[in-house]
Parts: sequence; structure tokens; C-alpha cells
Amino acid sequence: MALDFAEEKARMITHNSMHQKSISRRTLLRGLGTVLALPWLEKMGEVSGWAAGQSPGKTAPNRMAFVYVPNGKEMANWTPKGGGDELKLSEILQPLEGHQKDLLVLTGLAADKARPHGDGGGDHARAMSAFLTGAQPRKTDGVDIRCGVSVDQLAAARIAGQTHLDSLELGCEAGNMAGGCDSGYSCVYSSTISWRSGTQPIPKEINPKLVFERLFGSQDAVGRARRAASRMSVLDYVREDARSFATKLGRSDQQKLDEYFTSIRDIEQRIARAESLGKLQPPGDFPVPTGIPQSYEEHIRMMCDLMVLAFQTDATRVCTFVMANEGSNKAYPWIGVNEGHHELSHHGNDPGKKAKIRQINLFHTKQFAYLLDKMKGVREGEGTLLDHSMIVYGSGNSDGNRHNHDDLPVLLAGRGGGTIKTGRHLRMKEETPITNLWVSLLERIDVRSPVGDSTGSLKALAG
Amino acid sequence: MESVACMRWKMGKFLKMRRILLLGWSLFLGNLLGGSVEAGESFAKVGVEFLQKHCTECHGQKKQKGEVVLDGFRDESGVLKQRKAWKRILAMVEQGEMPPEEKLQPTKEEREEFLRTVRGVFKEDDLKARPDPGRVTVRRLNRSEYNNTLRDLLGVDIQPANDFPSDGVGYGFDNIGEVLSLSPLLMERYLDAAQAVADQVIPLINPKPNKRRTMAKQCEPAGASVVMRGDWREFSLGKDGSGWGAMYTPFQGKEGGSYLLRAEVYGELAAGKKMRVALVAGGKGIEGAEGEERLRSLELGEGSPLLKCRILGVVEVTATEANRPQVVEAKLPMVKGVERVGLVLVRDGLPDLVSKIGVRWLEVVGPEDTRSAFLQKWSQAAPGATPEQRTRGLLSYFMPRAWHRPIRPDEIERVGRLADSAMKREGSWEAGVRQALVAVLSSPKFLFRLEIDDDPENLQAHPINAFQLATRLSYFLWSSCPDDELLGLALSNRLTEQLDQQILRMLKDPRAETLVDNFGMQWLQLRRLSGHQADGKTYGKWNVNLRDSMLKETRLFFAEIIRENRSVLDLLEGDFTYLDWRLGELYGIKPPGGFEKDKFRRVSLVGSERGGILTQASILTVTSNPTRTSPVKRGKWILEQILGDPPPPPPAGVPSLDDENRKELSGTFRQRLEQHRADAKCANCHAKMDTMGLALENFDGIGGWRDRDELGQPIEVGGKLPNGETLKSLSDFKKLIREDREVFLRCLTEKLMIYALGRGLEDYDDRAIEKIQSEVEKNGYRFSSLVSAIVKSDGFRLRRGKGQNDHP
Repeated sequence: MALDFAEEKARMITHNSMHQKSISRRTLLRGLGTVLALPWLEKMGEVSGWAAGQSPGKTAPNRMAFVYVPNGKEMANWTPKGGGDELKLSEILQPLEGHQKDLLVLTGLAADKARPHGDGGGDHARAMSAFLTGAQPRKTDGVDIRCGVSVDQLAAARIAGQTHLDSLELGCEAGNMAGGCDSGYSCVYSSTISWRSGTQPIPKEINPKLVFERLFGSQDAVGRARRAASRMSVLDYVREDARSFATKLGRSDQQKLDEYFTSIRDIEQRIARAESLGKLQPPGDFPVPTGIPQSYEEHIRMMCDLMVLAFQTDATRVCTFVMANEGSNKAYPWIGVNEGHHELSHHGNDPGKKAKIRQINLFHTKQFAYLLDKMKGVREGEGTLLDHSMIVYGSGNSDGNRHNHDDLPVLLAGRGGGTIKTGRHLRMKEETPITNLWVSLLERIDVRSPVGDSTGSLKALAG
Repeated sequence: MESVACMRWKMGKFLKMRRILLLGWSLFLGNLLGGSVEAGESFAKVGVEFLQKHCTECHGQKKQKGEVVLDGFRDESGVLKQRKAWKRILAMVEQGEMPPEEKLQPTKEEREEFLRTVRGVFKEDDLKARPDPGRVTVRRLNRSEYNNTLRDLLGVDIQPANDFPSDGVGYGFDNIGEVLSLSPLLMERYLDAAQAVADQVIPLINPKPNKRRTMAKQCEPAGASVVMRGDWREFSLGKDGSGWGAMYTPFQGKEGGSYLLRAEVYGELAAGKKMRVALVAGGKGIEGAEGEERLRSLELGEGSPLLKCRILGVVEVTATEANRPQVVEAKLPMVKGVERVGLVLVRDGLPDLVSKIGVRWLEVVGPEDTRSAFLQKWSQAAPGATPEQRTRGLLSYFMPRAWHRPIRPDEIERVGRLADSAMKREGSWEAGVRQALVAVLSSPKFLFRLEIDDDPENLQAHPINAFQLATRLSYFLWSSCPDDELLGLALSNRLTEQLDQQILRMLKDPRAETLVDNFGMQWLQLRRLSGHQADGKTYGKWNVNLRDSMLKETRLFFAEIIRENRSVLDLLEGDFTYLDWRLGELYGIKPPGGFEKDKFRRVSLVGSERGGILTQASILTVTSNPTRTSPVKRGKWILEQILGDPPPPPPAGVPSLDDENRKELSGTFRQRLEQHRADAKCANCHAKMDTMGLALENFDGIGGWRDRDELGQPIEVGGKLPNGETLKSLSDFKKLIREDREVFLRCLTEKLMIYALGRGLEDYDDRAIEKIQSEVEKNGYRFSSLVSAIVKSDGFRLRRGKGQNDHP
């Protein structure tokens, strides 16, 4: 599926004129509610790499992404009024106007494993680590970390080998801070959403430049091939060499060494895959990111652009994106919020503080709207990338003040290749495990697997 | 009195462990003769009596307040099994937090006897116990260690680890073996980094040697006596007899480098005359200077700076026309003392009045060896060696340093073969060596601090070897690999005897600054300050530069304590600090002479409210919210980081703040805090935490001094501690902290031990900690004595296999 970009552009033009009007810039800006510099708007209307490489008639793959926002929501203004077939956007969801028909808001889902169950404080750490895993994280401030496999990784394992990367983990805040992060829980729990196994949290990448290099490499094709050869021989060497002393290590040391061997194997597989799948090429006009932008908003948007790029080029089909770590105390002075997010979320029903929380919530919704805009801008077959995706947006905390983990703010965007009836507000039975939603999403990529504490799937998704 | 939430948590594990406890107890009964009769009786009498009189009414099978049950303890065996829980019990009794105020209070003597008795049980047990060094899981290099190691090993400072995923943190530090995991993403970064570094230190093509030409006009000596014709400087011999037959230019070469000295010349000579010039290197302290006799053959005037010189070569001038000049040259080995190079006419026979010599320029080419510093340092194979031999020669220098131990020939050979095949594939020796470097730097032998043990499952304590000790030492104090001195001492088995000298040397070395960045900043939780955003509207002085200055103040302060080997108590009480104008303004401190631009200067704090880390803006800010101070956060920070008494997390089931039946909190911040605390479940812990935090209320959310809070209310400092003591002012608080210096020392010792050992502490470390503490007290609390005592402890120098009681 090597792409010739001149050809692709030519095709793009035909697509635009024949099938669909491309979104006008102005509509888009209006949709965002504010005029902003959008660096890569030019690419609106391009055909996806997948679509360009496929024979007509074949259906696009179903993509899956999970976008996480911390500290819950101001729920009274999150939950849409009414329910059923007509979705009326609430105040906090207002920035998604224009995507209404692509949304499914789900009210009443719960993350039971985020509750203490005898472990005391630490709702932030648990909210994030239980969100995609449905598993109760073990309370430890470092040693012997344990949670469960997350839904994105179950999906990634299924797709493994079909794309260059099994999954992509993105974020905007690094994971490390001194000390435990939340009431005796290691920082890993409140900064990691993806878990490959119960003991293997997957670190997220926060530097757009490195994400880009991970997707496309930093060298030309010849350099890459040469490097692949030399890398393979280094990997051969270190694997053999490590065998020589493995018996002289204690058991726990051998476990650490196992992580090393697993990683080596992973990289070898990736190199082999790159050979069989052919090289990946970013669109020629995609500006190569140079680092982490100063502005948080710009940072989020760059990550959104990269997610879209990864889906569009079929570099991966599974992605998680953490806009801010759980319990984040970031201030948002550019929208007039000088206090920390976490501090404010314990608003004690103070109307002033609640208003500010709403501001932060709105800010995040706007960024999510940007992502949806971008996804809709990519044509695939008769539809758009968004039509062939399932993008979840939500938090493992409901009301940040109460730290409750039922009635979670969750919405799903995209039609999942026509398997999801959008434009609705679904009110679920109280205490429905959110993992049931995950099970339903997995079914849509042909994975039949329970997730953590799931009890079934949500039939209502199909309408 | 319901203030047991705190205890409940502290004792929380009891509930789960009670069953085990009872089981253990019956085992003990079956094995009674194994115990110490004397201590057993003593606890059975004094201890049990005290428990029955003061504790079990609330903490017994019937009431189980806070899920704490104490009537199962009948003798020392049960007590020993619950050592951690008992530590908390002792602390609560000692600090007067239990029994609670409204209950019958033991007399001072009863209290002390109880404490003495229980402590005696532990002491006796410690005396009998075998040394237990604990077990460290193999440590992967963390980001900082990786960067530093590359810097010290290869002389590169590209810091590739800045792009690595964050390291896991355990026990407050990011160098804990068990927590440092390795993901495929990180492994990919390791390979990329190794390649980038190898590419940098081994260029594929060596650059041409550098040329530096000085035109004759610019050469010394200058002045009226210099005759120029165009670019040519003219010398006539014997014309005036003044002897200006020389010219030179300053030169400083790289020691040991090999250069070429060149000059462009021609001569207009009388018929039948010959003329020669000498190329010389001069300097006051030059090695191998010429003797007087040879000097006499040179046309040097008196006082010429070339009178101390070495003749590099003497060449006859044969070119006779300025437009067809000749280049003369001589080899210039850079020897000690060379300060200038020059050209001197040679005095040959009788002077004649006609001959003249012209010189257009002097030129130094070199150093001849333009290979990278890395290759110059490590690749010194004998001339005539094959490329394969040169590779192995280099590896035999490099690998022991990279893996910090002697390397077996077969290890070198395996890497060598890898290099050979890369050399064949890519067609250059350099490419082969690059490949070898990538392999060495990607090996687990480099990425992990492997402490290979011939007897890994042996549960008996046995020592680590000298190289492993050198490595532990260097990563402890430098966060980097051991240098040649340490490795040399390990090789000759003299490291143990020179431990103290080495520690002092290492602490004075600039590399020890990593102790400030990696230990200090993590201990004080200041790493998160760089992400802190205070509100500029509330605090007008706040900006990013001020934040950087705050961090720097604490760094410089801490660094002085290490560098000058000061008392660790200065961390709390030091009456000096380092400020720049920004902090000077924030603190309202104007030292005589003021501040110079953005520079920091050492400032005395005698007579000021400030002194020690607790009153530094960095700490005061990082424990505040963006728009206000947080006495709770400050108090929690003090309990955790300074007094080693972390408050438990809030208990489950605290009524949520927006519970409708709950009265809204109102009033000043202090009042609201007090209402919050009125909840019995919160009271005990918060009484301590909040009082400590409120003692610092005179410092605002960015560490500036204030008399009124953010809402304009006058500041009230302090409050009442759970043991009844009151804190009325900042100085009361300082006094309390000073009196608690042993508590502080223990806390610091524990933190530094965790950092040094790369693992959490266990009960069996208690003995080591007590020993270290008494060593430090004996040595005037010097920082080096703390380091030295830790390095000499069992945990640092011994090891054992993994036992059943270790972490899974």
C-alpha cells in the first residue's frame, strides 16, 4: 500500500468534486466557536491511506480510540436533557454542535473497581486505572504494581501484525512526579490508562516529535533499511549474550530481564512487519512536529492531528489519548481559570467554582470537537474516517467533588462502520458496568472477550 | 472520643492479619522454649497490664475501635510478629495521642515503663538476629543515570534520555529496582540513543587537520624596525647588526598533539652565499630547550623571547624570487611549555651586506590526529595492527568501563565479531566500531546494574564484590558510572580500606551535584515545582523566572551542605541561603552590596525569620494551591518529608463535602478548617497536620511574608497539637522542629537509605538505621558521616538470595 502522493491528490480532487463537498474552513472554525490558528487545515478533504490503497467495495477497518479527561465533569451541565432518539446537547457538550448526528451519549455507566472496596482514599488513581481495565488497582506506592488488561490492549492484541503499530498511547502530561500521586497509590495509576497486562502499564508518549518519528521513522527509506539490518544483528547479539548470565541472577532479577527479552522480541517483530507491510509515508505536506508546543491547547491539537494521521495512514487502528493526568491540578489561565483543576473540582457546591469547572470542561470538549472535525475531514470510501471509528470520550470520575464512580460522563463518537446508531442519548440502567460498553466495542472488531468486571454487552448501541 | 480514624488506618492491616496472628500465636505456644523467658515475662506482665488498663476497653475483641484489637497480645512472640503495627502503637503512646484525653491517663512512669518494655522486646530480638542485608532487585539505569553515564563514559552531552518515557517512582524515588520497568517503547529509545551516540563519537570520515596562518605583518616583534615590502617581511643580515633575525607568533596547542610548522620564504642572496632558516618553538618553561652553543648559531637579539626555544628543523632557502617562493616546514610535537612558534635566521659564516630574506607567513597545521576524542582516547593499537585487532584493542579499553568490571576475552571476541561483520557490510572500520558500541550500550550488562552472583539463591548474607561496590558507590553519589580511580581500587582490592577517602573525594567532585538533583529534589518533592502555576493575579511577583530562582536557591543551599560537608541539621536550621534579586525582593532581604544582575549570592539570614529549607520559597510554593496557601498540604509535607510520620490517607466513608445534611463551612480559612476537623474521624490526624501547616501561615502561596491572608484576614499562626502542646508562633514551631532533630535525622537517614539501596526499608533495616544515626551524632552530623555510615551498612555491602518473606 505504498502511496504515490501526486496520484493521491489527484484522486482527492475527484473525490471532492464527485462525491462530497469538502468541509469549508469557515464552517469548521464556526464549529469550534472561536477563531484559532489551525496549522494543518489545508489537508482537510484528503483521502485516507487506507482508502487510497484498497480496491473499491472493500469496507474500511474499524478504528478505536479512548480520549480521557480527568477530575470528572460538572454533571448537571454535562448530562443531556431527556433521552432516546433525539440528542439535545447540554451546555458542556455545546461545542460538539455540528457533530450531533455522530454522537451517542451514554448516561448511567459505572466503574465499580474505581471505588475503594476497603482501600480508602485514592479515587483519582483508581478512576484512571480502572477505567479501561475494569480491574481494581492494587494499592501500592511503587512496588508490585497490579491492575488489569485494558480494552485497547485487548483490541491491539487482536489486530497485532496487521498494522505497523499495534496501538498508540498519547498524552499531554508526563507521568512522573515525586512521591506517590494519590493517597498511597503509585503515580503510574493516575497517569496510565493502557495496560498490556496486569503488571505492565504502557507509558504514554507526550512529545509530538517522537510520536511522529515512531510512526514514520526519522530517516529516509535507504537509511531505514540499513538501520533495520544493523539493528537486527545487535538484537541477535544481545539476546544471545544475555542467556550466558541469566542463571546467575535471582528470580526477581530474571523477571526484569524477561521484560528486556519481551521488548527485544517486540522490536524484532516490528522490523519484520515493516518489511512485509511496506514503508509508511506521511503526507508530504504534514508539518513534522519539532517538540512539545508551549501552549496546552496547541499541544492537544497536535496530538489529535497525529492520532488522525496514524489512523489515516493505517499505521495503527487503536489509540488512547490522555488529555491530562487524573487528579491534575493544572490551571487554565488562558480561559480565565487561575486555580488548579483538581482543587476546583472539590467545589463544595460553590457556584463560582462550579462555573470555573464548567469552563475547563468546555475547553476540553472544544478540543474533542477539533479531533472530530479532523476525522470527518478524511474521506474513506463513501464516508469519512469518523464513520469507520469508535471514539470514546470520558472520565472515570463523575462529579469531581464527590468522587463518585457511577453516572460517568461518557460519550461515543463515530458510527463504527455502520454498527452504531448515533445521534442519541442512551440512559442505561444504573450501575451498568462501563466495561460492558468496552465489550460491545470489542465485538465490533470481532473480539469476543470479557473486560475486567463486565457482565455482558450493550445491545442498545446498534439502535 | 471517636478520633480513631487515624489509628484505624494505621492499624488497618490488623483486621486482615488477625487470623494469621492467632495462628502464629498458637505456633509459638508449641515452641515456647525457643523464646527468651526473661523478656517474655516482662512483656507478659508490664505490657499486658498496660494494655488491659488503658487500651483494650476500646481496642479489644468487643469494641474493636478503629479495627484495632490489642487483647490478643500476651507475650513477645505476638509483638514481634507485628513489628510495624507496634511501631505506630509506641509512637502514639509516646506522643500522648493515645489513650485519648478524656480517658484514664497513665502516669509518666507507667508510660515510660511500657515503652521501655516493648522496645526491649525488639532490641533483644535484634541482638539475636543474623545480619540481613535485604534484597535489591536488579536496577535499570533511570533517565538521569543513563545521561550521566554516557557523559562520563563517552564525553557526549546529548542527553538522549530526556526523550525516554518517565521512570516509575517507588518510596518517593525513581531509582527503585523493583519499580523500574522496561517497555518496548523504552527499548526502542535505548537502541536509538545508542546509535545516536555511536554516530557522534565515531565520525565516518575524519576532518582535515586545522590550518592557522599568521601573515608576516601580524607576527611579533612589531614596530618601526620591521621592514615590509608588500606582504613580505624582509630580513637583512648584518645590515645594522641589531640582530632582528627572527619573527614569531603565539601558539597554544593541544597537549600531546602533533603539528606541522610551515613558512613561505625566498632569499635574495649574494653570489656564492647560502642561507638557512630555523623553525623553532619557544616558551619560558619549554621542555628540551636548546643549549647555549646551538643558540649562538641563531640570529637572536638579546632579550628575545625565543632565547628559550627548541629548534624543530633547519632548512636551506633555495627560492630566489618572491613570485616563486618556497615553503619550509618542520614537525612540531606539542611539548610542555610551548607558548610561541617562529622562524629564525641561522648565522652562517660572515655576515654580508647584500643578502636578504623575505617571509610572507607562518602557519601551524594540526593537530595531525583529527579522530574524535573518543577514538583518540581508546584506540591506541600498535602500528601495523589489522582493523580487527584495532577493534579488539578499543573494546578492551571500553568494555570494562561500560560494564564496570573486568571483561572476559570471549566477551570481547563476541562484540568484535559483530563489528567485523558490520565492517564488511558497510565497508569501513568506523562503521564496525559503531556497531560494536551500539551492542555494548544496548546490552543488559549496560542498561541494568547487574550484580552477577555465583550464588544467587543463597539466603545467607554474603558480600558483593569490589566492582559491584564501586558501582553502587558511584551511582549513589554521582548517579553515574565509576571512574578509573574507583575501578582501579576495585581491581587492586583496596576500595574497602579507602572507602572514607573515596567518599570525601566523591562528594567534593562536581558529579556529586546529582545528589542535589536526584536525591534532594525528590526527597523535598521539588520536582513538581517546575510544573507549578501560581496565580499571577493573587501573587503579583509570580512568574516563571521567579519559580526557577526558587528551585535554584534550594539547589545551591543543598549543594553547599554536601560540598562543604556541613551538618545535616543545617538543612533545617542553616542561617544562610543563596538569593538573586528576585528572591531578595520576595523575601524583602537587601544584602549589603545588593545583587549583581541575575547572579545568585550567598546571604546571611542571621536575625531573619527565615533559615533552613522549611522557609524557602520553593517548599512553601510547592505545598500551596495556585491561589492560596494550603496548611493541610504544608502540614502533610512536614510530617512526611521532615518527621517521617506520614499521615494516612483520609479514611473511607468521610462524609462528602456536598452532603446535603452537612452544614456549609464558612468563615476564615482557619475557621473552615476547624469546622472540617470537628469531624471526629478527621480530627486526630488533622490536628497535627493543620497545626504544623498553620505555623507557616505567615508565608503566602509563593513564600512571601504576609500579615494578612488572601481574604484580608489577619494571620493567626499555629494551634494545638494532639498531645496538648500548643504552637503559638513560627519560632515555637522552629523550636519544636529543633527539639525533634533526632526524628528528623531518622527521617533523612531513611530517605537517603532508600535512595542508596534502591529498595524500600524493612523491619530488619532498623538496626542499621539506629547504628547509622549514632555514627552521625558522634561525627557532628556531618553529611559525609551519614553517607559513610550508609555505605558501610549491611544493606549496602552485602546481599542475599530471595526469601519467602520478601515482596513477591
